[in-house]
Amino acid sequence: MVGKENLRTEDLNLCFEKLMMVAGGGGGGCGGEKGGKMKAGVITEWKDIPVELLMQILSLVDDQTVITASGVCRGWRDAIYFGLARLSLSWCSKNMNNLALSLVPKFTKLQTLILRQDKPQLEDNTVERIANYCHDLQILDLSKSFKLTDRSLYAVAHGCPDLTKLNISGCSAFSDNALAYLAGFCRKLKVLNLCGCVRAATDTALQV
Amino acid sequence: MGSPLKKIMLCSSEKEIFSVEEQVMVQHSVIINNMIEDGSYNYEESKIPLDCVDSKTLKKVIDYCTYHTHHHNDNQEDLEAWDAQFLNVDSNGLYDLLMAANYLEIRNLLDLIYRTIKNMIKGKKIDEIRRILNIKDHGFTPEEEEQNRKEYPHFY
Repeated sequence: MVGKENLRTEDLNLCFEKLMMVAGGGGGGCGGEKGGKMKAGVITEWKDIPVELLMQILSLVDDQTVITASGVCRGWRDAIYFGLARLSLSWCSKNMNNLALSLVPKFTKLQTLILRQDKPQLEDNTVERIANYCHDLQILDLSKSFKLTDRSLYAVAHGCPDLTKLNISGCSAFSDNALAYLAGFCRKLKVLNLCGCVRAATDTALQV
Repeated sequence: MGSPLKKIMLCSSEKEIFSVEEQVMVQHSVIINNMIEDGSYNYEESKIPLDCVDSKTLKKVIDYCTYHTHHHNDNQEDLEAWDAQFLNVDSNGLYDLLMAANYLEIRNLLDLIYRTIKNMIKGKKIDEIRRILNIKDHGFTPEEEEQNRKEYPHFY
């Protein structure tokens, strides 16, 4: 009977949810099932907030709080790692390179990444790692990354085919060749900020 | 839009029935507005089942919609003061309200809750956010938690 089958599916779902709950709290048995509230078979509390609602809230806070939120609980972490489209680490005046190196590759769905610096911090291996993980990047701001070399541009060329906007103003070490190479791979590139790229802005790169 | 005196019935998860002025809900809730507009609500016998909204929360939601329907001409300051008092609930109550506002698609209540939560967590550390929102079970393994604390001490 159809009705009976539905009932059984519901029971199964309930069992499954309970299992999930036990597994979720399993870790050292610290929280256990306390605080969990059953409502029509669904456990509801802040850690279970639907992704789209969490992202709505986080769209109102600063980037530092977004990163903090990703450490609050497993559900939030997963939601943010897979849901965050825009991140800026420009507020990070001291530790940007380390933070970008360890953190940014986890946000694999990023479309916009702002790494604007006052004093140069970013290093090539960080940009290479980012380009290896964040393939959806469309807007990338690396302003004032004096330390970066052509290695970074090659990595971005290979890792970020959807790039439409690249700001490398003040990245004085990039060469003309590397820029032309990048333009060859990132065919969607529309806006390129080259202020202060003293070695790069020649005709070869710009004609592409 | 229905006449001001018409009432509709809402049914909470505990099967408690709430009778509300139609206009109050139609003005605030997108789904109830749609339900009334497309004629799927029967005034004689329909009770709109809100299985995921408990009575306590539903009563609050109705209070909100009623107040804002009848006081929409009040000055902004008074309304904000009323809203602040209205959301003076514990974190679990706030979560229930958020879920109810989302389910019923009550745009201005959702925005109000979003802003409130933003102010609660903005600039806070992980441990503080867990305490504020009463998150006891973070779901990380002890190893993951220890690793995170070691790697990002400034966030805790």
